[in-house]
Amino acid sequence: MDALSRNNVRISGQPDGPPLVFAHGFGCDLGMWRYVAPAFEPAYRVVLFDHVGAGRSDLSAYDPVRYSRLEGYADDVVQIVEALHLPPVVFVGHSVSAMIGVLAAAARPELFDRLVLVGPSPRYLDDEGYRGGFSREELDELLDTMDANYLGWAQHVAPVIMGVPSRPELGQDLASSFCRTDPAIARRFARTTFLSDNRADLPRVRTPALVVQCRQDVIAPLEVGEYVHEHLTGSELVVLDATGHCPNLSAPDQLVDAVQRYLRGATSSPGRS
Amino acid sequence: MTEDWDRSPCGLLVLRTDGLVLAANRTFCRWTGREPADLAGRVRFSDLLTVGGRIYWETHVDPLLHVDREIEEVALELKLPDSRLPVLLTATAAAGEVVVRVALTPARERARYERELLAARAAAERAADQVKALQEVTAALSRTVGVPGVLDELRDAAVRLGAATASVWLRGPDERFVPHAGSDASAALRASVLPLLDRAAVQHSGRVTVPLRGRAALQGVLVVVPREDAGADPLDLEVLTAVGQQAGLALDRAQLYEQSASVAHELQRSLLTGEHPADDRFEVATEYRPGVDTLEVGGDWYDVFVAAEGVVAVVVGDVVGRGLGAASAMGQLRSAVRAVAGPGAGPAVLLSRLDRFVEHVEAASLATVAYAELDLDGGGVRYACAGQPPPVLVRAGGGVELLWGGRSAPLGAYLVAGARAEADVQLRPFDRLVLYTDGLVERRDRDLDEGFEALARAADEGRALPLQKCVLAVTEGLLRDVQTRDDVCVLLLSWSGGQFSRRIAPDLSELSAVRHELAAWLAARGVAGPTTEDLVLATSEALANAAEHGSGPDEQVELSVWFEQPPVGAVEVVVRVQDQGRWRVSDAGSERGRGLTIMRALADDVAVEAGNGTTVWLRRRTAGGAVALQAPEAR
Repeated sequence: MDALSRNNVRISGQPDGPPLVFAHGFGCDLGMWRYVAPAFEPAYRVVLFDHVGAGRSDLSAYDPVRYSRLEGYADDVVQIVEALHLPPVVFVGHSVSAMIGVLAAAARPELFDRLVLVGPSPRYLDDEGYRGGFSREELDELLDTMDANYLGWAQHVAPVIMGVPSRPELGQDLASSFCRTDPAIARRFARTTFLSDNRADLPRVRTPALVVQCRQDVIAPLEVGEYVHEHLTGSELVVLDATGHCPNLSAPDQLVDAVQRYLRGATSSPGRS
Repeated sequence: MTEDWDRSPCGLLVLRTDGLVLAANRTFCRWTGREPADLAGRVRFSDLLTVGGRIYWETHVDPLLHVDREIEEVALELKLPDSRLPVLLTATAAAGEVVVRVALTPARERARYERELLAARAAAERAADQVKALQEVTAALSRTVGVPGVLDELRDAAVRLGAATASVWLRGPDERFVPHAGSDASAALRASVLPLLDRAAVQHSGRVTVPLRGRAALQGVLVVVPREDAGADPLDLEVLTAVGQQAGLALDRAQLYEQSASVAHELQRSLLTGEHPADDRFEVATEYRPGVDTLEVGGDWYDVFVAAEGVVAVVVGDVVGRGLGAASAMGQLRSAVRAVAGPGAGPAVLLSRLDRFVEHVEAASLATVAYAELDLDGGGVRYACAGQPPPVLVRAGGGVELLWGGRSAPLGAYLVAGARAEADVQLRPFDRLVLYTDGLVERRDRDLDEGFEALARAADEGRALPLQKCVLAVTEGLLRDVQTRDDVCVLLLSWSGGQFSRRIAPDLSELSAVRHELAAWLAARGVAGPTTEDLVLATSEALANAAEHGSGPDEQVELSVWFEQPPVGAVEVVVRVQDQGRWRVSDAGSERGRGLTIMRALADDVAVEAGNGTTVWLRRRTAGGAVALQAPEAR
């Protein structure tokens, strides 16, 4: 399976520019970056992709065993970077993809120049001496809510999944399919996302990282962002004056500015702590 | 207007784009038991939802509102002081506006109805998945061969159904459960729980035990370690229970099958391991290879028996079909061959009689047989092949021939009796005859002629090996890279050439006759004319010496002539002349001394051995002679 078609990889920007890979989080697809990615196209080679099971990825490549661990998704990221023969990339991961980037950089540090982690959480469930923000019961509520919206989603999703050629307008209009995912895959992705514990993976990473955190985020609270910052050697923390879990949609200008400043700073003073 | 807003049957809200409640109508306040002042500017809408709803809002609804600017009919639950209210949410974030307008309708009934619908749908989907999983496992189990095959498939199935690892424990003869090969013995079983098992159950360790119940008893237990990956699907105990039931029955079948197969193998083995008749004049070596990738016996056999005084019969055959039936038909046919062979019945007559036999024994019909009779004194071979490939003749003096004579159809295939063919061939000492069943040369990936060539080559290369090693080398050489095949029988027959023995009176009155007989005997065994002349002359000298000096008038001289095959080099003729006297040293230089000189000139090796009498040994290579022999050791 060709990683580029499997993950619906889209490339824009400057062919010779430094590569910037954007990875969407749980619940959505590469459309998440619509207000962010264009700002980088004048100076960077911009790579967008869908995780398998989301957006317009190849659903036939979905392997329940491979994708029951975040390592499976991280391996996809490595394969995409390798398939494009890119120099070390800046990886921008939102939500669960922040940890996917952490795993990929821990496994293959030579492929990654910097990480930008937007709303990361190494563990969503509370644990002894650790507050992730959620209990196991609350996660079950999420699954119930997803189930309750199952019928509606299925209608939206079916033509896209099956690629019905007789109604191409459904597949081509990104807005109409945005965030629509096969319910069974979404359910498993929810479990993989919210039940994973990757706290022990943070110290394995040597790649410089920027942690971007919203002032108020019920999914990844500020203290979780601080935890990530503390346990990632050589990371910087930026708190956006924004609420919610998706600054890439709700505060794209702030996010773009934070990332650009970080990357500029990195170029001018590469040896910073 | 404000009145309409407040009295709307829907809960209405206006939110800032970051979700902060700017205004809520009275209907919404009544539902949530809050004052408008408690909400406006103080609460984010997602805070009013259950936690699951909040995550959903942040990861699904909010992104859609930012991109699509509207969303319809999202099912969420409002958190009330001591209950929950299912609602359907519709929201718009019109372009150019900085607010989100939200309308909520209560959906208690609808939510309940949809939950039932969802539950029914989930149950139907799960049932379909279960049936599919079971069908796959059942189909896979039915394709397996033997108990190990069932267990391998069972472990594979468990992994497909979500196990990290799976092990199988089988009930042993002492009623104890022991881990099957390849199973993780650390997954120790608590024996006390076993009799209670009637369905898949989660043990304290987190492992799942699945009973494998046969018709009569618990055959074993499948122990499944669930996968622990965050997104791993939970194990379906119902499916595992059903898989266990299927596997229990499959184990029943596999054991029955193995029992039947083992009876057949035992029968075949007992028929193939009898002693060969012992006689110095011939040697037989055999090799049987059971079919690969099958538990069933194939019905191939070989046999060696005395057909008549001085006649040994060798046979290989192949009965149609497999399994116990084939093994038993093979046994009957093998006995029939022995029964109908005998004095006066050559190969063609034997096959005709077998044709009649198989008319009554259906299972032996269309069996193929290669049969040969060797005259132990003369070396003549009569042979016939009913549907079997041609025997191979390996000449001791060099050369390999396929014996294409005496061919006819498999047994019972002749409608008219008496149409069986046979042929004959003359063996020379230590020539080898190879009989074999067709599995030795038949290969899917090459035509039969190539198979014959390969066999001829292998037999030629093995000519210097002792017979038993040669049959092994030929069999292994031809079957080396064959993955799946029928069973195979290979039989090698070697003739020693027999022995020429005479007792001669010291008056040498019979010498002339013996010389003629010996010359004829050697010529019949393919010894070349000049060699024969030399040997007869040398033998005459030895006899003359023995008669003149060795024995008293009543004592006879014994002459024996035979062939020997040294480990390397050509076949040798060995002549032994024994008398009861003792040669005197002073005889040297006399007539006797001259005789010895002649013998040494005519034979490759001459030895004189003194004991109770005197024995003279002469050795002469029959052909070639390129290989140096050890210097003669005269005494």
